[in-house]
Amino acid sequence: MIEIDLESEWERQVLGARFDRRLQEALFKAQLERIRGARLRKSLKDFSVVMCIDKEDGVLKSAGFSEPSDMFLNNFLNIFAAWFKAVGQTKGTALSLVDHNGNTNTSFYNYSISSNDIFLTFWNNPPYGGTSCRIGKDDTAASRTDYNVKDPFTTAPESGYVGTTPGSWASGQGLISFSAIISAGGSGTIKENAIFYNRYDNGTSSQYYFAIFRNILSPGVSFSAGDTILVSYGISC
Amino acid sequence: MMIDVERILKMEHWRDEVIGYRIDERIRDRILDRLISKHIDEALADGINIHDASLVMVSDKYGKVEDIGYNDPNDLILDNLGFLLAGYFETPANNMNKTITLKDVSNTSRTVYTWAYAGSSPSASPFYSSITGGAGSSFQIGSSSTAASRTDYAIKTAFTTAPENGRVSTGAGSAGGGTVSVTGSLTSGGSGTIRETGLFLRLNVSSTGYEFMICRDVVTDTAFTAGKTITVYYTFTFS
Repeated sequence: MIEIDLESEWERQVLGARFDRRLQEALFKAQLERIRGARLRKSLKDFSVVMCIDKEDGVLKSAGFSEPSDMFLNNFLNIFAAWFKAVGQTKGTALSLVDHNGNTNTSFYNYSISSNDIFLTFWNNPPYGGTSCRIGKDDTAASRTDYNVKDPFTTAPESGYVGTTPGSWASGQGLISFSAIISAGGSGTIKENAIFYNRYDNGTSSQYYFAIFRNILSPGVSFSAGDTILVSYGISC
Repeated sequence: MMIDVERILKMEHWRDEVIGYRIDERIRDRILDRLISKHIDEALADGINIHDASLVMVSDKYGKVEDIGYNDPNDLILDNLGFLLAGYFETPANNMNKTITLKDVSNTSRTVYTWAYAGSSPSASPFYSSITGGAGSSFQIGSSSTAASRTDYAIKTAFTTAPENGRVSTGAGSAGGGTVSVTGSLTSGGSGTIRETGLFLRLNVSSTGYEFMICRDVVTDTAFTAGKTITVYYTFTFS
């Protein structure tokens, strides 16, 4: 395993190196250690690493790391809290979530008793459930009330919501991890990313994206059209 | 005498100071919230991990606190919770189904949907409540002080008298300030010393309810006798 210390000259060590699975894992591990070394490691903590791989020669072109002060968003906390209710055959309470447009949504319930009272895990009509990632170019500090990236890109596909891989749980490490890959259509500098629960409302035929994490990256990650952008996410438990 | 929470919490031995006070039920939750925040702060100051914190309070019928215990800050998120949380991250797809395997309280593997396509019926959802016995969350106390392990699936040593020998419903969870809290209470039928607490979800698996432990905490010895109110208070910290 390559050893990377994000407190020293990591750029000199890894930028320009041929990108492979080992390098990806080393960067992710370095960020995990940085997060756990910070004072805020004492709780469940989300973090991310964004890497840009050059389209020409496959080398690591740039990388950015989430700030230790980034935080879980209120949507995640409200969803998690909704898991808890008295045992019984009753439906739960309506969740108060804020969608990707900043509108409060109370259409969904935690525990269900009918097709109208359903938790986020149930329906996945097109354009689907699952989880998505979005990147942007604003570096305003994260706030629990954030509901989307602050400043999305204008070129596709980096302007939109890109599906994540399935999450995995590593018991020995106490770590949940997943990722998203984007083949850039334009160019820019990534300074923020967010993860969303996708939810389709069958009643109103509306697709919602509920942001659960928003991270600010340091340094920003520059990319050009055709480059591969890899967003690696983790939750330290 | 009513408790002066803010004054007590400034004391070095705040836990001992709380015992013996009468706590009005109406403000019990607020007091517990402050106590558990204090517990978390103290653990953080000592550089100790504390992902979930639990506090157990025993009080008499007049609300007087008789004993209070709090968990080892190094207690772990269990595998069941890790798998459940991880299961919600999934690549969007048409008619997607995703299952995970959790261990129920009998250590039997159960297949649980985290994403389920089920046409117009909600019955595949793990949070579907219209099953015999219903769905929801519960807690249990026990008397074992064996350190928590990620693979724990049940209380290690259950009490033998009801209702403390079983799982008891919690109230609804609440979120705020980067934490999620949930509380449950029971009136004891027998006596003993609480050394462990567990938090459970009762979920729908193929139209049958099964219980899954998501947290097990080892708490300082907390004694109780019959007829006491035992309140368990859980707080998850997210940052």
